[in-house]
Amino acid sequence: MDGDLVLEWLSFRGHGRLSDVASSVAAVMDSPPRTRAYAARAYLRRLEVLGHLDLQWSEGKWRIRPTVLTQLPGSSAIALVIGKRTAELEGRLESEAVLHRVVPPTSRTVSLGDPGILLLEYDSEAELSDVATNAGAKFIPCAALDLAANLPLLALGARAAGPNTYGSAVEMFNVLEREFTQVETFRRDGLFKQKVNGRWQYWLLRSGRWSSIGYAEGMCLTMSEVDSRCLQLKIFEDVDEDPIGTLHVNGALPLPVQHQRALALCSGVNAVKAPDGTWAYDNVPNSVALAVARSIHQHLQVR
Amino acid sequence: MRVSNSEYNHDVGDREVLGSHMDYDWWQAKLSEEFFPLDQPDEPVIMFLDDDEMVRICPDLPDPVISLRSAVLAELRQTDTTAIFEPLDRRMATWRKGPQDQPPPSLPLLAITVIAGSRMRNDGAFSSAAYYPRLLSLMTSGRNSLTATGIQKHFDVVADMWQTLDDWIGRNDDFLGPSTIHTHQTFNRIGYPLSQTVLKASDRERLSGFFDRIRVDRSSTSSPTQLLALLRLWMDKPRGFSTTFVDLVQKGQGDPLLLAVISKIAAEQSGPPVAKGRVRLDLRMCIDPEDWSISWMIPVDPRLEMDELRQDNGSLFSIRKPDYGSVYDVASGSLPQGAPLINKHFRAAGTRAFLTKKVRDIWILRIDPSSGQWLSVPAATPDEPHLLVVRDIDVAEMEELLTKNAASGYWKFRGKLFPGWNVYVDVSWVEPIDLSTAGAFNSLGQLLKAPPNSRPKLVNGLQLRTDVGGLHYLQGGEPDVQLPEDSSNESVDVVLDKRLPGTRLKANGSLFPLRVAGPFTEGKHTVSVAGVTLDFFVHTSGSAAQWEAARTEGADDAVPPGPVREAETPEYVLCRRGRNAAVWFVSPSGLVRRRSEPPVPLFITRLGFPQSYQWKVSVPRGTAWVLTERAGKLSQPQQISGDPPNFGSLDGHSQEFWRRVARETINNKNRLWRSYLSQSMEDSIYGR
Repeated sequence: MDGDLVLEWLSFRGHGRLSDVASSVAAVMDSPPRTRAYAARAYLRRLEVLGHLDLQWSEGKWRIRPTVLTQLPGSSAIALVIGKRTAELEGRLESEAVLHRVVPPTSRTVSLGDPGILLLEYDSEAELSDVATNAGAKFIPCAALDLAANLPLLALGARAAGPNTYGSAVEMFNVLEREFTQVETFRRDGLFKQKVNGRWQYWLLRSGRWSSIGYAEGMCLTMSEVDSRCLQLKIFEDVDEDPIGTLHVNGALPLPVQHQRALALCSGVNAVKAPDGTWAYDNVPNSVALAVARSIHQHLQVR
Repeated sequence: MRVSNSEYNHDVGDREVLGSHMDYDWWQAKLSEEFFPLDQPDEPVIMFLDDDEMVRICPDLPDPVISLRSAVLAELRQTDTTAIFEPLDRRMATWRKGPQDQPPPSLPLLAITVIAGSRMRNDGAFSSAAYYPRLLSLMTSGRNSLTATGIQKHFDVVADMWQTLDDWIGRNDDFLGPSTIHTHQTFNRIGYPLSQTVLKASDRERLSGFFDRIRVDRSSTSSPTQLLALLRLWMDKPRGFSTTFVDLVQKGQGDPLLLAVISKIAAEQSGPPVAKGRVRLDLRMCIDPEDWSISWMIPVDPRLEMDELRQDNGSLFSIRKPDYGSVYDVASGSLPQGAPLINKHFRAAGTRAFLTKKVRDIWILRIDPSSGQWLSVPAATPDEPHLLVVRDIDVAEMEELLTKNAASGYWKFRGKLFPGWNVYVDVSWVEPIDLSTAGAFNSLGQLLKAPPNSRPKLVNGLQLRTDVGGLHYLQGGEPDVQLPEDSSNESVDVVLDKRLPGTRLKANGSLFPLRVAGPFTEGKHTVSVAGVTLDFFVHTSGSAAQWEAARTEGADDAVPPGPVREAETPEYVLCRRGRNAAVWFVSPSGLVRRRSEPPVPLFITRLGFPQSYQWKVSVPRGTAWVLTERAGKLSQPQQISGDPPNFGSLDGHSQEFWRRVARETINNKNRLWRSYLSQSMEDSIYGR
């Protein structure tokens, strides 16, 4: 089963309930039945990071993103095609420009491969913009820079009542052990979680004030207090105004989706796990890495 | 090929007889030219006419059907005896003696019989299968109905004329396509014209139902073929079309007539809707859970806005679709009400709708979410609360069934809502209904749906969402078969596309992924499990169904698009890779910066990305012009901003550049660039 078929199918469906697509995607996965449902959700998340989908976990909905042509940052003159993708669209793009389909690097975590990476060769920005218009797609000069420039500074979420003391067990994130452990009292500041209606909910406790928060955001805020050197940029292409390199993100630090997307769209591929346990993103300009780091209260380490 | 009147008369050789009936000859020639061109031996001959086709063929005539009718009437005797066809018989005789290189001179009469067929629809007075009433009303002119009756009485003569035409087409198979004239086993006389009635009026209405559903872009030229492909998928299930039309759609490979007819109707759909057949409505029982009052309601059918209905006893009432809610408002008159209606039949007919109520043995009601009342439904669904109304004589059996199969919490209504009936409230079936327990309770057994797991079904798979009906999947994303769940755990055979022997599997409710049996070809496939056959379609890229699916909205709410963000607009210039390739940025101060070609980024080669013959660089802020350089040659300048030159002191690097660029771009016509050049020259002459 290849990811192209799944993405094409999602493009036809357009939008709908998450549970429906998750079960259909699970059914075409080759992983063992018990882990399929989880794998299918993880796979949809990967597609979301690659800019093909938007997922709304809280409302249980999903939506395909409109087709976008965008340039990769750096000196390479190739454009990435993301979002809604059908054979019809590929045909139109092929008639307008040189279209390449690259098989993405295989991931060891998911049995279903990511969809092929669609890349366009072009001669000028104006030409690319015309190709997009003629194919019914949108043109964004550089989606990665665009996303990075719009990343919000992570802050506490909406004020909330905190975990239900009469509900299921509450766990707190132990920053030293880097894992959640069950707690009885909630006096210390930190990140807490509890299963509510079968789904994990997260809260941050800061000086007696509870606020509800997403998992990745909560982890980023908590981790920034103990380790602010989780992001390392290794420069490969030392261009004077915006050097470009590979960004390594500490494996224990989950990034929110829009941060992951800004980084993944620098190369069009999902992060790969490096031998040292960090997540590596290719072709990341210093400005993008810096914007991501600032947004999650980290100090970018440049080597 | 057009046959002029004079030629035709000459062929027939009987000017004297035909001279006064030019109209009939004109029609003969017109129809002959339209349907029997002697240069298309590959296309099947179909003499299809309806009111719209007549207007298309004769756009200049004010009412072509009337004109054709009077031409035909003038050629018939005003009698209902066998003598009625005498003048036509004479024409046929003359034609038989001739070379027969033209179609038999019966075309106008035969055309009339086809038009009559095209007017068949359920119009309230006659069903869509009634042919002769349409013929009579078409052929009756003024007070003369004699001739019209005559045609009906002696339709065997007309049938013979059809047979003659069929034979003639067969003899001329070198010039004409195969004949489509054939008759019907039972209706062997009217079968002839009906074989040519490609589209009865009822077909046209059913087609409009199809067009209402799909989203084909009617302005595009490719749409007829796409429409036909979708129509074929839609007509895979019986949709009530006439056999002639079904044959034509399923067999005809891009038949030009069919395509023309389809695209014409599709175009009409954007205009006023065609008159529709009558909508069948059902009178439903409604019980208010607050005060246990009984009423009878008509659920809304989306096709019907309003209508006036007449009951069998003659009283009238009118219904109107409400702004909100699932039942019609009664605008004037009244619907019969009251409990005793449960034991009676009821019928009311209007021009657009037909309302019925049958006498049942059991009534099943479910809460209607829009009114909050119990509303009768055709069948029960497990795990949902229902209200059951059962006859007194069936109570014992019902109680037994409830103890066995219903969740606790149901209760029997103490009072009497309906004389002779009992009411059970909040019944939700947990166990599948065991039909043997139901035994004599046939009605209940039939009405309650079989438990969901006792039948195999198709689940999962990458299903396409279309409105053409049936299950459609992307190739490679074929569905799983959910096997029936049998308590005895017996084995069942799963047979794919009738390829025997099938796979033998335990009937334990598990999933059997069909895609492992692939690859599947495009088109229809069947899988049969324990005698139940399930159909599905597989689609490859670019099929009409895929195209349709991309435009079919789901029933669920669309997620609103995210907020539009202010886009950062870095500007890039591209330059060809090559020897000494570089880009020069020129600022209004006259200073320049050179960027030489960078090596191909590592990730490009590592990920196997294509190595473009171009490289790009973002234009720094404050740049007025960009020039690219390759193999020691500068390109013409590319303007980035309209800032005028404002040269300061230039470094050696920039002076070198300006000396070079002046030589290479001296012929450039851009005035702003020329003013940059002249400033650079002034600076070099006078220095600073």
